Amino acid sequence: MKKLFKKFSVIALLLAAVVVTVGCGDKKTKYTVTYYDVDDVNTVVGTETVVEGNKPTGLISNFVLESEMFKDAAMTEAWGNDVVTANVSIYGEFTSKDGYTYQSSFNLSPKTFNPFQYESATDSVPLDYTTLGLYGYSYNADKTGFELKPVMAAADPVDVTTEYAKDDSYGIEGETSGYAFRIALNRHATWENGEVINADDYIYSLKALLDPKFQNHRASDYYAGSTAIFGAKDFFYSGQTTYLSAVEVVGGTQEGYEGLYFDASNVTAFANLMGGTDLTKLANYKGYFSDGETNYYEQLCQYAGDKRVPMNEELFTIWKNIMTKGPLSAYWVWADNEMPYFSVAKTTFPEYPWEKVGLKKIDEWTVDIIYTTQLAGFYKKYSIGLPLVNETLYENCKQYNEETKVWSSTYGSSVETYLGYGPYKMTKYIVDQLMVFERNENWFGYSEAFADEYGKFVAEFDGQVHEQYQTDRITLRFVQEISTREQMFLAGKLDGFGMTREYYEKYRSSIRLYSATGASTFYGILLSDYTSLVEREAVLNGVTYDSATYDSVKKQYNKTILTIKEFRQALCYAIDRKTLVTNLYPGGSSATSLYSDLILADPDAGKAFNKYTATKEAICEFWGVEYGEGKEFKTLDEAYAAISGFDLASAKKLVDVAVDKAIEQGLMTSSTIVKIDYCAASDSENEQLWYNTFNNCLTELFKGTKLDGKFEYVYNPNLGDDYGDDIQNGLADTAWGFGWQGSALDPYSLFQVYVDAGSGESDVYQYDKWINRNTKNYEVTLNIDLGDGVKEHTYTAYTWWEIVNGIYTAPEGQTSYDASYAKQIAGVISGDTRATILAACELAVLRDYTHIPMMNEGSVSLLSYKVNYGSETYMFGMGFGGLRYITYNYTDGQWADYVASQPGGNLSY
Amino acid sequence: MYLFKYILKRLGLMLITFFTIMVVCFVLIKLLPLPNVKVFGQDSNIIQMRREALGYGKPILEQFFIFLKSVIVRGDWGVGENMYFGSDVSEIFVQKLPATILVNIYSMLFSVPIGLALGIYAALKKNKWQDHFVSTGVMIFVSVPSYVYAFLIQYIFCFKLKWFPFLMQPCETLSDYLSWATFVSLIPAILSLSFGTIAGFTRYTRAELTEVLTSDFMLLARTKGLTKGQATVRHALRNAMVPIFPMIIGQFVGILSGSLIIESIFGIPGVGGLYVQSITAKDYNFFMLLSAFYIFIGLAAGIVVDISYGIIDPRIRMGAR
Repeated sequence: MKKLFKKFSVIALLLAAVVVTVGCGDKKTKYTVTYYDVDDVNTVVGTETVVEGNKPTGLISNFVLESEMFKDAAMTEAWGNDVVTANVSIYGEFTSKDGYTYQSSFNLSPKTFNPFQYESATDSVPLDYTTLGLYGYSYNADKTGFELKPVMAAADPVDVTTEYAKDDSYGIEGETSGYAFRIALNRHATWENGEVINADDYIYSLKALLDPKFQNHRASDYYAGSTAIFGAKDFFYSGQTTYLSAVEVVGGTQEGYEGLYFDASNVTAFANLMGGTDLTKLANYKGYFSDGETNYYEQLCQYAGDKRVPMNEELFTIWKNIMTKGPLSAYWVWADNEMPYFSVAKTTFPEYPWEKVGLKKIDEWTVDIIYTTQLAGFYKKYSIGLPLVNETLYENCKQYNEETKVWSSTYGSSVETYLGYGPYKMTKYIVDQLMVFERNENWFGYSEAFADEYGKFVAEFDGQVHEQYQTDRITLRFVQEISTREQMFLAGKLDGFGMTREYYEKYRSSIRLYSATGASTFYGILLSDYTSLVEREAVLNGVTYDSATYDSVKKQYNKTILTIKEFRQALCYAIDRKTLVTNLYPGGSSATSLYSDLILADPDAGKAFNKYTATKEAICEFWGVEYGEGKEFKTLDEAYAAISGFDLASAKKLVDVAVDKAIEQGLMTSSTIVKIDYCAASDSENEQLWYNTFNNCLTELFKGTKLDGKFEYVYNPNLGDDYGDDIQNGLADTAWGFGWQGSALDPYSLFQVYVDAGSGESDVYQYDKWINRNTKNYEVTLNIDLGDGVKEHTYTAYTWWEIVNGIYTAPEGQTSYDASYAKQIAGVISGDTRATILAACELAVLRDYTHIPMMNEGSVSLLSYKVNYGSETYMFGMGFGGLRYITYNYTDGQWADYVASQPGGNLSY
Repeated sequence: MYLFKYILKRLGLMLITFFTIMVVCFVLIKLLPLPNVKVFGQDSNIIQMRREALGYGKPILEQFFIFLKSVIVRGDWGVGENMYFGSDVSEIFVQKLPATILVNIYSMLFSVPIGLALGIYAALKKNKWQDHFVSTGVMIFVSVPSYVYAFLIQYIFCFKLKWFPFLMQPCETLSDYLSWATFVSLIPAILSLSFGTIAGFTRYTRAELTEVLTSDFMLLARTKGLTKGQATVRHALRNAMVPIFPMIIGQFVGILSGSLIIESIFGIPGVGGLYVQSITAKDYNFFMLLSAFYIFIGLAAGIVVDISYGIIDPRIRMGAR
């Protein structure tokens, strides 16, 4: 036994010595390469000894030692004359074809690539490679901008509104243009299996998408907003069951509570009581749900929390007590039959025939689409689109569960359940491992007939003529860890490396670094609602808020100073945006307004909303930057360009003003400690970094002010998945880095997120929902031409939003600008006027200092030496040109050789 | 007979426990609030309608019985709603399980013998330099989390030396999983997982064996004429294995839950993160399938471990009064 262990010790030491020697030595390693049959990896077809760094001669040209691919080869590592225990595998692509492979990665698994269900950017990656729209982005002639050209369509849409406006069948009676379009389809388009795509495919696909049984996620793309097809929503809602405010279903009164449900997230009656602020969540009203003795709010929470439960006697009694005994009795005269105001009811939508939906087959290659909103100019081709799935395959993918009575579809969950029709086809998909796309030889774009459009182009990086779609194959590996992605990129296994702040520091001087700006703007949301703040303040001070007895002045901690506008303004000025972005958000840019420079107000001209004079004037006014004779800046452009959003000196003065006001208003004393929360959805190292940065900014802010040593900024990363609702419902003092994506080409529509506190019919996006911007306080007066000459017009910010979007209906007896502003989209009314309205409204929103512009979306990435982008300039819609314009400096084989020839076999960026 | 009755009794109890835990899991996951997702320009009513169609508005127990009926009558665990949309959850699970099992079995096969051997060696060399050497190594390997090794191993062996690929070889079929190339591609992950396990077994074995070696019966064994080796193998090791063998079984059960971090570093498409993901995404079907699987495995392992005591040590008689 003793001998055995002695031997073991010796072996262990020898092995350790070998490992150390191998790790430290610079000798060339000899490899014995064993060749296996391509189709049968168990059959050895030959062996060869190869010195490290050399290419095995028995392999085809794109294979070198250490390259990682998919098929098998194996070798044993030789060390001197001995074969040591470690075996090493090498992986080779045993193919005779040497082409251009774009190697990419994904770090989140796609949920689906079903065109009816995709949600995330990862989900849409396979669709980006394998599908195309009726109209698609292309560079314009001088590559300074983009244009929309027919792709799956054969020509531009033809306006046929008059054909459908003869009666009211499609809701456009009497209209002359912009609602109905005839689309000639591309007769060369086929599925990747070669089957022709014609009008029937489009008709089937839209009907399948809107099939009420499936509740397809993308359905609203075709029934909501500016792309709403007539009747699509009614068809989609046919027979659907949902819960609406009971008032909408059964009316305002009902005897008993049969069929009524209590839903803590939908108590619309209080919204009405509070003046239409649409605070529909129970939590908004907890201060009112007490009669001094009994806390009815707690009773309700025990019942339902966030769930919906059928109304019963006990619930009914609780409500009755709230409304008759609590402070709300002053606002509401309770009647037993008015329970519908405080409950929801189940409703089922009526059936709607498919024949009435606004998509008509004219012939095999032509369809007509009838929209509910007028489209014109750029928005015509931008908005026109139709979904497309393969009928035979889709039908085969339908599933029905007899027990749960639920329909679902497996379409787009594997190679077998998916058919594309774009430049590439999916040839391999192994869940959470690998996706491979290869050239779709059946794609019409590769044919001679389309050579002008999809053939050669002049690349910006070398001024030479190259082929479009040079890529033969795309491989996507599932790589979750960023450190692994970095190493794979340096080893030549990935052609792009999107990086975070830490990596940006390392590669910021690389010539292969590319920055891309996104369209979203992230801002801080500061809570200004007194009720929410005072309740949170009471909790902080360990008491229950009671409006009758609560006295802020006597409390140790204060939050209600956030209701003072100057305080919020001070916070806004105290953020050093440029430094923050440079240090924490590479690729982004500091934001000084609600819209980024990529938001286009006039896509036809490629003009960003921020480029309009009215916009610049509004932003200068907001930041207090003056220009003109005798001022710091001579011109508007100079003044606008100089805005940084950081002015610590002014911020400190504002703090003192705010403290004085707070004391004067009885919110606090000079010794009260201001304690507000930094709220985030969840905890993370990155979130803590952001918190520390803001904390440092605020610490600097309060130095030398009346709050010096009396301010605490508390890290509170507990908002969770429902962070949006929580912010809206006044449960977050400050929340930084929130924003909205979408509508990059329509700032007018996007403005809804700042002014729509709840219409009751649509989703509420406004983060500072406690502010109703449809009141007199938010009236904006403008001297402009709304189609009837230059006049003074006064509307609330919300109404202006309705006007610029053509959805405003004037009160009876007054002029409605509905029609005129719908027409202005067609260019009847000046785009400058429209921008002037939006700029004035933007200023009105900004002046609340509840939305603090912080930074604009951006990203940075490295591009491998193997490939070049089609354009060096990032452009909305085109990016850097995408896969279509990517060109290659090396074939796969050459690239492997090149990487292997680098010191240590790794690249340097 | 005692053992047979004992097993039957345990199986019966297991079924009751299984069912109870399943009910609790179902109720608890259903009690979690569903996120209210808003996307600008999209109708969030679709999500509400889908939830309604899926029966989320029905009483929870009614939902449970519908689920149970679907599983028992049709063997249908449902399809993914918030993860792997439209795919059969059991298919996805079965597809992902082999990678986890494979990497952990390789790791076990590698680490258990080495761990036992080092533990025995350290015990036999108690308080000598060999023991101190092994114990120091054990302390280091126990203290440092496996993902630290993982990053180091990936950097040194995959990036610098290029001995192994960065990621696991993509596999579709069983033969892919069992191929040499797959094994080699898993070596970095196996090594990362093994260090901690080796250290654990070494420490435990050393402790157990040290205790047994100082027992009176070991002295008796030597006095009746056995060599130290014979006494150690025949008496000491067998006694020391009584608590160690169940530990190996426990370790094997742990295999099935996978290792979230190691799998994510080496691109192993296993089930490591699936359970947590199903809770985060509120995908009920995935959650219930995974719950059922892990509950069953956990309960079954408990029975196997208990029975194994009797097999390893005949003095322990299961079910006897």
